Amino acid sequence: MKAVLRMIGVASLIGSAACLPSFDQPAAQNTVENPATPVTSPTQATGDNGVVSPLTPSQQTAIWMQGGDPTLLADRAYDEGPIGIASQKHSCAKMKFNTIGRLLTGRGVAITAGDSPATLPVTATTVCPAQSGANTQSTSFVYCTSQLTLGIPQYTARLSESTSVTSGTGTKMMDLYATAATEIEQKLVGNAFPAAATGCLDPKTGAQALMFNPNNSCNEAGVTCLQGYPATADQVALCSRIVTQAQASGTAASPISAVTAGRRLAIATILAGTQLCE
Amino acid sequence: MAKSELRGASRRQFIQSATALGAVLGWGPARIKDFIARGAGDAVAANSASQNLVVLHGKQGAHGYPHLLFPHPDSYPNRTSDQLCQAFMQKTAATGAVGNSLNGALSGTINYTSPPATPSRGQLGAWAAGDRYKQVFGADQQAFAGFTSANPTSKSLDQNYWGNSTVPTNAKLSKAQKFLVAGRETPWLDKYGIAKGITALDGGIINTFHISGAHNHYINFSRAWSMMAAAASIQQSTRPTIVPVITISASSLQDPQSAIPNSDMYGIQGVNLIPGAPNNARVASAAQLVALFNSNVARALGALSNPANAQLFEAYTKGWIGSSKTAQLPTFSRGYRTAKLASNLVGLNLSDKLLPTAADQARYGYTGNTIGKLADLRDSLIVTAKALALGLTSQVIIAYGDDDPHTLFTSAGAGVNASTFATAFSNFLNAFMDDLMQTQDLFTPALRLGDNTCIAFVGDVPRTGVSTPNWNDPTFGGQNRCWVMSNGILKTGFFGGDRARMPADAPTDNNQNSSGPGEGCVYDPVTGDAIPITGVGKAQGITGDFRVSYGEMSMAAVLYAVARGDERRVQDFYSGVLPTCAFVPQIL
Repeated sequence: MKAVLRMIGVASLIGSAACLPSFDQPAAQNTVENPATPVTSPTQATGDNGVVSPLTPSQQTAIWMQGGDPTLLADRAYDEGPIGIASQKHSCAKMKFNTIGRLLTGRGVAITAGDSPATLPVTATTVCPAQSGANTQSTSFVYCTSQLTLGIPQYTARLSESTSVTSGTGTKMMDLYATAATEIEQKLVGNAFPAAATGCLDPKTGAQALMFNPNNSCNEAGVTCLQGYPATADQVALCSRIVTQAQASGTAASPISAVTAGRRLAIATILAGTQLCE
Repeated sequence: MAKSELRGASRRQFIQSATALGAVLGWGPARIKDFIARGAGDAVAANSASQNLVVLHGKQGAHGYPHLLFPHPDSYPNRTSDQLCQAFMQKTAATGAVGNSLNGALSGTINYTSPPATPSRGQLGAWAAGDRYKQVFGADQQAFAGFTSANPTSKSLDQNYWGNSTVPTNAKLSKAQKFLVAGRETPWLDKYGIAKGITALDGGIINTFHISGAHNHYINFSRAWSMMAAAASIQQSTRPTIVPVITISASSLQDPQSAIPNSDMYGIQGVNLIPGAPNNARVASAAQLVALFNSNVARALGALSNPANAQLFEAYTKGWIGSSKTAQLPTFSRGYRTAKLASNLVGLNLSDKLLPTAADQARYGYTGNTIGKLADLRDSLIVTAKALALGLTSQVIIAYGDDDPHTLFTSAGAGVNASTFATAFSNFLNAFMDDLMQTQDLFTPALRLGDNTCIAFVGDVPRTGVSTPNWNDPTFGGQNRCWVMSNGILKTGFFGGDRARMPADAPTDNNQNSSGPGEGCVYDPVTGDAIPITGVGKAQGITGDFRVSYGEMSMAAVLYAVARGDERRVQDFYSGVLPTCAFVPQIL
């Protein structure tokens, strides 16, 4: 009896999928045809930089269908468990605003410096630090003043925290991480994370993790600390290459050497490359 | 709408099929929902799309300028004279009929003492010599429908045109009978057709002692909540951007007659900002708007201040993402794709991408800077188009004009005369729309940006549209007006308004408490038919001053357009009577 039901189920599933009119559509296009308007080729206004946009429903559907046999999909859906868990395991859910704060604090960043109150979490009622001059601002300034873009939940407006990384949110997160990288690099003590970086204890040595070796190559413990999972040899090599390839920057009054710029860039890259998704 | 989209019927069909499938497999409701979420999660969410919003705020007395482009149709065709407040109706240099090219900097000026013949440029067709305007039939709404004038001359004119001394109701009039009026400067209609026709809704108070803020932007007057903040609340969940709302104004925008006097036009946290709405970033000029988008690390002493390092950051961030175990997972592709764009954007000096170029200014039809109010408006629109195209913001409020053009219909005008301003305003808005139509909307890729950007005109006082001498402020009922281009989400046409009772209707004075010239009406929120205005703030059958409630109603309509027809989102912020007469129902 069970076998018969299973056969009916599989047959219905295939039949049902075949009948879904929106599943057999062509792949998504890069251009938009709008017959109501004159024929002009839609191009980007600035003519450069490929824009990244959310997937269209048709793209979603196409991707879904590219998964293959509907029976296998159904089987996989059964195995993956509830969506609450599956979505966290199998998609790039935006790192939560509060989590970003705790993450950076654990890497030694004074994320609430100048804020009032000076403790996490930063909320809509937090008084952010004032802007200081025209040069680059502090991590705490960027974190606090960019809270909306970083996706802080708007409970008063009945809006939960966004779970997706948008271009705006992603850009601001990278801005924050690259800003934090300078602070992290400046606070290194003998190339090791300071005591305030409570998330950067090296389990092998029991001491604070080393970010850079004496020759300014990257240390596995430091990379592991920043990305939150064991670094591979390739990743450590990649990190070291960044240090050697950066160029000097800064101003005449406050020059930044190529090595220092490289160290900051390496930290920024690791954070940006690994801490966007939960 | 592309047939491949999961919306409306196809979306329902998908859900039905998935439910049937789940039932066959013996899944429970939760399992079926999970399955639907995997297969069509974003398709279902696509219904929560919203439009960009560009608000053109006529600062001080400048909210009268839209009359030059979007005339009230009901004064046409058999009540016309050079008293109507349109440049194209002027016949002498003394009343601003002759456009000034501003030493060659402004293109397309017209001499309306003798309008020339011009070939067809689009859907409005050719203009014969002497043509001043065209009736564009196919609109959805006629403001004076159902109106019986108390003036015998006006009544007979209605009899002549409509065949009845009472104008037929909107229900009785076919679309072929309802019309907008277009001049040669009226933007968008010629190129894009009635789909980009204007909707105008009367409501809100006016003040003849001009203020920096507006009077008709309230979605909730008693709390001084602005429609823009409500729109931003909707947009931030559907079109999240780096800077959600930007106001371009050299000075703060306030309303001393607000329920919270002198509160900010958009809203300030803790004073009159809608709870949960994003803060507004106010910049003084287009140049400052450009500066707003420079990332922190691209500034001096930042980690990416050296462009070479920014390129390195982008390359290695992409490499690092590629080295991740999840890089090949399709479910991560969307997030990682966005991350790769972000790694590029964060190191950019966006000023290069946003700054108005000489080519842009030429395209917008004015290359000079001598007339500050024109140059400011032009540059603000150029930068706004670029910022919207890059997905950097979802809403821009541009305060323009900042003048009190009582003398617009004179030879020299208020800096520029009626014909000159009309040409410049038209050039700017046409080029702005062309820019938007060249670009795909990042958040709703099936649409061009121009098809998903709502443009609203609000302000302090719209001035009379009926009488040019001294271009006085009061309208017939002391009511304000919002013009909005909704991309078809609202019905095209005028809802309420004033019209001349006869050709060359007499002017009144500029007393803020007196009735303006002509005759006026508001509208039935359900049918759209006229409700006669009987005095300042008074309308037949309406208890109390109608202006506040109609002002909120007009903003509810704009919000409906921004929310792409999602009434539920409108009602999150607006609890009054919905102007359903203006709504084009949308399949959600």
